[in-house]
Amino acid sequence: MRLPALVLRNLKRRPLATALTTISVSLGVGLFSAVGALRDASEQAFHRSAGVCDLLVGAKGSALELTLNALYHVGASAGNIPYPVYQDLRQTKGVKWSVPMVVGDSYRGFRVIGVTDDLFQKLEVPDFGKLRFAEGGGFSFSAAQLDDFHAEVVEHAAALAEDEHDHDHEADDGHDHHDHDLADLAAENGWFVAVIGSKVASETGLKLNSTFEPAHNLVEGGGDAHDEAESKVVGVLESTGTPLDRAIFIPAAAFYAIEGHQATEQSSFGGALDPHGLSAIMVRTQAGYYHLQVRSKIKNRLDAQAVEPVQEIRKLFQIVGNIDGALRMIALMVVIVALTGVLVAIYNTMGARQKEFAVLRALGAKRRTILGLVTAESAAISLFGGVLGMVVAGVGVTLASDQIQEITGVAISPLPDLQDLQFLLAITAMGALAGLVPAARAYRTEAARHLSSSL
Amino acid sequence: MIRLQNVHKSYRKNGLVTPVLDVPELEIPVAQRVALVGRSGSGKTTLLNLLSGLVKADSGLVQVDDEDLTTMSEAACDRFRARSVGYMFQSFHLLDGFTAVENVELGASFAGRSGPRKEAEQLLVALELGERLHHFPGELSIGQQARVALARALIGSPKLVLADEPTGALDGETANTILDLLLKKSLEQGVTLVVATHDLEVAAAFDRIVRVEDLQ
Ligand SMILES: Nc1ncnc2c1ncn2[C@@H]1O[C@H](COP(=O)(O)OP(=O)(O)OP(=O)(O)O)[C@@H](O)[C@H]1O
Ligand SMILES: [Mg+2]
Repeated sequence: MRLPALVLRNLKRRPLATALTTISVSLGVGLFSAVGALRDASEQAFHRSAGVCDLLVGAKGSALELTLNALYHVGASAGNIPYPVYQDLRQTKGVKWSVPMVVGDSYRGFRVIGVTDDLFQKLEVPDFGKLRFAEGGGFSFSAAQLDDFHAEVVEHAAALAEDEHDHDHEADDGHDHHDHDLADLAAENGWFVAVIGSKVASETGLKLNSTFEPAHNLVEGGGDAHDEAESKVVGVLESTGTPLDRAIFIPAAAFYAIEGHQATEQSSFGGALDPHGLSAIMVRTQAGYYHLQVRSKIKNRLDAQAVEPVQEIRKLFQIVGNIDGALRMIALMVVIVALTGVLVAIYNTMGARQKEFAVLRALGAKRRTILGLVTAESAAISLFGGVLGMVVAGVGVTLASDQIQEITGVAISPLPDLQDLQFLLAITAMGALAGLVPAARAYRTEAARHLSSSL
Repeated sequence: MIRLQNVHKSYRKNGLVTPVLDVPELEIPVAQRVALVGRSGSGKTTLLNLLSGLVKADSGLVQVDDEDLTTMSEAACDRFRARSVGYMFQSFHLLDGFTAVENVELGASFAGRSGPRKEAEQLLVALELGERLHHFPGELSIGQQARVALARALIGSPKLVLADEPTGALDGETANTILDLLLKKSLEQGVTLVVATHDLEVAAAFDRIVRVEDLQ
């Protein structure tokens, strides 16, 4: 019999102890690798979502808040930036494309975002590419059309201010009048349309050609429905696994045309200068020098800032990283406790196995061989436990992977990576180390003494 | 060729020294079959252990095939035992968790040679245990266990076979079978055989009888 066979046979002779200790090791290892897999998945997911643009221009304030608000729909908008920032940006050398965003409406908890059609033509999601449609297609609404419409909006606002000044008691009528002009203009151009994310489609039941009325206010169920602003769904996006799946996109013009949006989204940081400003602009620049130049150009402004979403998310994960580090520490403790259990379980058999070791010695086994045999038993339990734990974690992750992919767009691989293999190796080594304690006792067995006693 | 000279062995415990064995002179030529007799506690097992290198003499020369076991390192003794010695223990000491064939195989597992499984099967078949290869010791009669222990001592064709009371636990007929097998196999393979026994009838079947008490 070869030594590995001998080790396995000895483990098989104590099925209960072997099974229980193996399972206890697998628990710790499974926990460890599941925490790792989920962390990797969430980090990847966050990075993907942040990677749709390399600069995010928005109101001054917290860079992380801006990133989370604009790209992940978390929290309320910090305020607006003046519209000319967008026009400037498009003239700036090194800017490949930019997509403006205006927010403030929601439909059944999903954010309605006013954009231009550059979103469909230019934006690329990492590991996914340009947006694709499960049904229908995008609307067309160019940057030039937005410029024109925005000029119209500003003009109407000026006229409105005059009206209010002249006929204070007739303000309501005038308000209505001007809004209808804008709404009519938007309607004539066919801009009361929407493209919805996959999650929006599955959760609200909206589909191609459905109509809906967005409500002002981002809070779910809150706000009044804009009945004159009924929008028709012209496209349903394929799932990207990013917050884009949870958004409803409409032409920015439709947003400005909707009643109540004038002079509401004001920033306390300077966006107030333009009541018809933008919430944020997603920007893709040319790499290297131009990127820095575009950034510093915006940095010099008092009314806007440019942040790098990927950097912000990286910083966020440095904080979150501590939490999952703590979780992994706990898992490691579980592993250590389990290995102690292995040690004790094997140690307890040593007394009864003196004869076995004595016989092996008498048959020519060296002391070192006996030491190795016992150490290997512990190492084997650790290895099996480790493999089992990873398999269980892998199966769990596989079972959850569809859901994870749907939520995060990240396909997590249940296959072990190099780090997992290193961990497995480390666990096995630690198991061997634990095994040294009973092995040392086996090593000291005096063969002759245990052979003279019968049985 | 085995040569012992001025061998002294004593056990000490709590400062108390118990002399166990003194052998001024003993020579056993190659392929001789020797019966070691003596009353209980006279040191038969101790002598066998000395010859196998399992126990070291306090002083003197224990030479087996030109190798001096008293000066050899423990690891070297282990290697010598693995390669050159077959040992049939008092009360056999088969390992419970291992089948008959595995027990036999273990006899050759530490010599670093390959293919002991086949040889183990052949040996057991020759000892009429072909039907019992995969039985565990607890499932074998005492006589069958004795044959497994014999096969374990013979596997790997050791030059020296030691047996400690191989017939002690057996009834007359089974004892005779085991003894015949032991003598026959060692004759066939030309091995040196040293068997400890307290049974003079058994001893009579050997080439030579050595009385342990007479050595000193
Ligand atoms: N490990 C030991 N420590 C102390 N004394 C021992 C040890 N092993 C054997 N002895 C003593 O050495 C003496 C010889 O023992 P040994 O086993 O060689 O006798 P034996 O001739 O084989 O006896 P038996 O016929 O009963 O097997 C005994 O008195 C025994 O008590
Ligand atoms: Mg004895």
